[in-house]
Amino acid sequence: MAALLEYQCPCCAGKIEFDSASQQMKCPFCDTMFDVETLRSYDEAVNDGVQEDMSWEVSAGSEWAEGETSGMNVYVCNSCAGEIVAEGTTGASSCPYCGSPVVMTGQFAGDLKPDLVIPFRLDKDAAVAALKKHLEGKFLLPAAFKDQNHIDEIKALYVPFWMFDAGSNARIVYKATKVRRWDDNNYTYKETKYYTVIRAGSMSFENVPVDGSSKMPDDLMESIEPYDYHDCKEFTTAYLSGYLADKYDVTAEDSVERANTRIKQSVRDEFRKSITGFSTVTEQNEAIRLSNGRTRYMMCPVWILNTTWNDQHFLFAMNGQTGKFVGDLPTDMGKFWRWFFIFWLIFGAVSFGVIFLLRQMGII
Amino acid sequence: MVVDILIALGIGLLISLIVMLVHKGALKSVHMERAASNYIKRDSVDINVRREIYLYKRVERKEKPKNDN
Repeated sequence: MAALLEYQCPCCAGKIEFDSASQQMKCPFCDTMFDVETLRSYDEAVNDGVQEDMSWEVSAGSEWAEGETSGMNVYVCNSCAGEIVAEGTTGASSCPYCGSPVVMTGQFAGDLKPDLVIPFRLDKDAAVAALKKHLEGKFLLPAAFKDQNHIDEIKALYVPFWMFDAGSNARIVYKATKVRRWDDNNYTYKETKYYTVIRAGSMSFENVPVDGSSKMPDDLMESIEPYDYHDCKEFTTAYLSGYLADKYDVTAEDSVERANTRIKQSVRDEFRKSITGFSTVTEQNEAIRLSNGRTRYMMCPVWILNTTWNDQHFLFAMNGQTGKFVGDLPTDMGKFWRWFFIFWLIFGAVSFGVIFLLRQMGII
Repeated sequence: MVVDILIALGIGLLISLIVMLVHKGALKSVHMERAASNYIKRDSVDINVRREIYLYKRVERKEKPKNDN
């Protein structure tokens, strides 16, 4: 027996019936008419396609060789409990995140060995210069904050990242409209044409980074992106000489969700860019499937600067390879309101002058 | 005159607020990234299905106000 086909109204989702008078499909709920071929195409378009799958192969990192970590010590912060790693010759006396004293707890052991490292390219002087530049031209920055003595610590730190590579296949269905307006002597008209728009295709992602340290704020690390991965090298402990290194405490499995969120958004953005000529476009459903996903464990160079001001802790970061510098700054609220009222008076007076002139000229 | 002063003060307030918020915004440089567009492999974007299916249309008609004179 043949299967009974039922179509849903694209307009109101009601069950559509064949209308013998018009020889078309008609929705009994909203009275919208469709020809059969259109409905079949719509049904195929909406229901056909890619099955969602955002799973990854997360076997990043490798085992340390015997003796490879023998000169490396682990330090724990008394205040934030952050753990950092430093070579015996480098040592560590304070936490790069909060500035509190750290104590050595023993030799580094366990955990995974990073696959790759991007070596530091910029030194401490570059970090200090970048901070100075970062503070320049900020009208509402408190004057006291510009004093360099307020910086408590400047530390070079290798931060652990999970890097995600994958191909993606995606299919997204949108509802779209085209609106046309016109009028005659008695009426104004608005015609809205409704469409289903389908986009499907593929794209590949390389080295989508996710911060593997819970102490390092994710937004701070994403703000100093991107790194130039052409410079990345196979990891050896020699690159840690003279620098601190953070240990990962967020696993690759726990980082997958963040990588997926960013990849999905990029797929949506790329597909959406290809849709033009409509008045409105709304996503109806999507299916994104990853293929050949792989993860790698990488150490990336970051200069960390921290300070306290008015009992608030401020953390700045500079990309140790590209020099991109970020960090939120405090606002002088007294200055904010003072200048707000001054500008209000100035712009108010100018606006009154313009209104007065326009009235004199009879324009308004 | 009073209405003009109130309008001018309203415009002044709005412009002043925008100017100050732009300056305040300049102090913020830390934010989560929305997407991974920096990491799309060069020339890998291939959108091979581009379909647009017309479904139906609606026409709304609105009577223009009549001038009785």
